[in-house]
Amino acid sequence: MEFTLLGSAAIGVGAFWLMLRWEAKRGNAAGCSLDLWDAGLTVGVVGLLAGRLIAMAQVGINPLTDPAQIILVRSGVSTAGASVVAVAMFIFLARRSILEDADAIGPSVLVGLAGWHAGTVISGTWLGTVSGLPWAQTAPGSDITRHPVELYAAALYVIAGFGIALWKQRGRPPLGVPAGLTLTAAGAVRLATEPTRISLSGGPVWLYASAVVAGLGLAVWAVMDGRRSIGNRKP
Amino acid sequence: MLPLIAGIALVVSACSAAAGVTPGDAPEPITFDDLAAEIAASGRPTIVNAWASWCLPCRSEAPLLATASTTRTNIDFIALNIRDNPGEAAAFIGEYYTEAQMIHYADRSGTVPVDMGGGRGVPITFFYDADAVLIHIHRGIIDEPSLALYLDEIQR
Repeated sequence: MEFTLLGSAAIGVGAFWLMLRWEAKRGNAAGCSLDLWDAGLTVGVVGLLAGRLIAMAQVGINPLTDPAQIILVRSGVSTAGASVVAVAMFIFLARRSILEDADAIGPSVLVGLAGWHAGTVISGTWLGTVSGLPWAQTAPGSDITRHPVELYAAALYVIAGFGIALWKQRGRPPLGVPAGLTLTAAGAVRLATEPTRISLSGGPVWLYASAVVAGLGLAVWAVMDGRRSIGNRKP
Repeated sequence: MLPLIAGIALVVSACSAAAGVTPGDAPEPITFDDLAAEIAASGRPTIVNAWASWCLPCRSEAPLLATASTTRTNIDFIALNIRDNPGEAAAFIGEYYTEAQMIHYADRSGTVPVDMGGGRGVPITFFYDADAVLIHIHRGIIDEPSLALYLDEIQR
């Protein structure tokens, strides 16, 4: 069953790679100090590892006495821990040109998240609360129709990712605004879909709200601070 | 990459050992007929999780099941220990299930999950609604979204 989760992850990584390629053909990486593909994978793996270790600690499993448990990702990853560590890792890697790199990688991250959420169809964890809408779906062996909540999230991430990417290419927004909007979208999509999710403990709504607030704050700061547009970036 | 990960998982699974455990009570043996009768007689949604102390994924999912059993008190949780040493099983229960609201049974031969329509692999989790109709069999480690989904299914 772990392989279905790997399948979901592979779709996410593949979507991230395709979006990077699509944007790279349009001069996306100008001004970046990072190889965005390497950075994305590094941040993803480090975030996943940290999230798994935190989740293990939360349920009382000691990674030192039970190191093999680390690879059993399906049994739980702390979303908050993984997200915070991933962002911190990205800031560390991109410390020489944080805003340029964040602007460049943002849409690909959103599309990668879309791939991951869509990929949960493989692992069977894509359904949410009960729904009578025409497009509601049933779990295997059930006749109860439910919201395909992960497909909602995937669709919203794709819209946000391509929207920001096209705006970058055509509108030339101030440096840092795409990164801020990326962070906002990442949190807002989860907040928007949370009511149709089912879980035992509920999602970390505080994390999603914090991402929205921090992203909007970054975007407003970028607009007010910088008159440098993407077209005026350093070569 | 995938075969490598699978190989590592198999090796470490075979070598894993419980550390710092508190011994609990060894679970009572049960047959398929008795278990089926108990599920039918309860009149409540029931999940049956087959596990073994030598199974690494079982250890990994145990905290999630323990938590669910204390928060979903309208559902019966049955933990079925299979093909295991009673002492090791008792230690596992002492380590993971002391706070859980679960009924513990043992099946030394490991045939009960097969008779229930599952298989010989562990972990495996069976979801029954209040009418004792088998709604779903989850083979392998169960994650929170899947557990939440099928707990919701058997309560309807």
